[in-house]
Amino acid sequence: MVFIHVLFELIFMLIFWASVNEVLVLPNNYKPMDIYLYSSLAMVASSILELFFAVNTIPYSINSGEIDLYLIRPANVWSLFILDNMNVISFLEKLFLSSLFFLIVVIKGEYIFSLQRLALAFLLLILGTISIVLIYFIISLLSFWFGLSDNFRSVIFSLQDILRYPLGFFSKTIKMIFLTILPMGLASYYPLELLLNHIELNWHIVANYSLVLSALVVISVLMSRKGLIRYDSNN
Amino acid sequence: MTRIINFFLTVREIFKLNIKNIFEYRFQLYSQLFILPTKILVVYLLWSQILKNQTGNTTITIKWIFLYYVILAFFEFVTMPFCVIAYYLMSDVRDGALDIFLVRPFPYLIYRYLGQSSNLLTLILGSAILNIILGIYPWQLKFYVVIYYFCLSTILLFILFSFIGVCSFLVENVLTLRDNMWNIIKIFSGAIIPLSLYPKLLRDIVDYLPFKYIYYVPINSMISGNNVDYLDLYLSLIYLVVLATLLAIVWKVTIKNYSSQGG
Repeated sequence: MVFIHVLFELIFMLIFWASVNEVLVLPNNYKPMDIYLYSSLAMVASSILELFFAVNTIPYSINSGEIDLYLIRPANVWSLFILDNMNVISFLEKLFLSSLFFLIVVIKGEYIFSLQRLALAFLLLILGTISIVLIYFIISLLSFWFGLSDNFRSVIFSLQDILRYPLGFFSKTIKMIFLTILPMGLASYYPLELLLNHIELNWHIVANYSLVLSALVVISVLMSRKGLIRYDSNN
Repeated sequence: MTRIINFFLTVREIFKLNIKNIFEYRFQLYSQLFILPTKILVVYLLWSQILKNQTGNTTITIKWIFLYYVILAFFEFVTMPFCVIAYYLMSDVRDGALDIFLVRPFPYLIYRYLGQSSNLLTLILGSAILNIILGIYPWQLKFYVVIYYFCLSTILLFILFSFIGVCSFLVENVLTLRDNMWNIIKIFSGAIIPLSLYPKLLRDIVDYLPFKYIYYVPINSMISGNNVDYLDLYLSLIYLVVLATLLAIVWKVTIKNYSSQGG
């Protein structure tokens, strides 16, 4: 089922860009194939997100008292929760399709990059995806204070829609917002620019990833501790 | 008189209770108000950026594309409940609740369609207001044509998802079929991007299918001047009659496989 769903998502994306490319010129000298390369990277990131799907169900587990099951076990509550509800099949199906798409785009677009650059791009992609997971985690933890928080997550999801299109399309302000304040763009912006040889890895990028990830980890840990103290089981 | 007063007092209490329920999760409620504006903001940011870079040969304007997506967002939101028929039918067949409807002297599908009257009313009022905002007034024929297209869209969606629901007489679970139908509609109805922007080959295919009457034709007729395309109007009617007839036939044939859970 996930396979068919992802296939349709891929078709939607291809139709959208084929239509745009037919009548319009892409901004900032992007070529049509660059967009497909970007989309394939975004799909790989989205497949990794499937592994952490459980993060989205935290608000319901907090409200229903299901978290109790994990509180009494002698291990980290959230690691157990995520491991218990991991969607491995969806992850594999999505990863297979996105990797296939990536390969086709690289061959058809005749992209040439070193293995080192490719590895670096995928490392940044994974780190960027982890930052997205942490953002969702923080939003889910808000449920300790506000009950349900999934509509707020939907707002963020809607904002995240902007990442279906390369961040390089947008103004500096928007780029800055999605790379630092709401750092969801880290998962695909730098990896794409690296693969397109538009940038070299420099200390700015390393600092950006380090600062964002550290900040998100600190906020998550603090909120988790405070939230669990506040937690009053429904059962 | 006392009974009438009591009735209204009960209605008032139910209303108050529902309002309280809505405010139980305030954060949830306030967040919900931002979902649609955020979506619209994203559309604006993307298209303003894409169109800023055009050299001048394109006829697409930011106003046109922005209006298209805003109306589409409203339209999708209001028409979505008409697709639930597939799920309703599957549940009613599974638990035998269909029996109750079959013994009534009223067709099941029409009953279910009318069950969405409040959404239909919202759609009609919404489209009337949008018409007026866009300069199409009630004394113009176009005003009624647009409302007709909007209502037609709900009927078409309802019929297409009824076809999926009817499959419940033959198979146990139709949810995957339903999702795939939804994806097909998305591709051919103009929910991804206006159909006029599609590559020529795809545009030629889409022109012969009824899906364009679900989103593209209603929205385009609303935002593209005051002319009425009579060919589209007649064709939409033909599609409606053909699909409704086909559904009636399929219903008659497949319902023979229905055996109630109640015995």
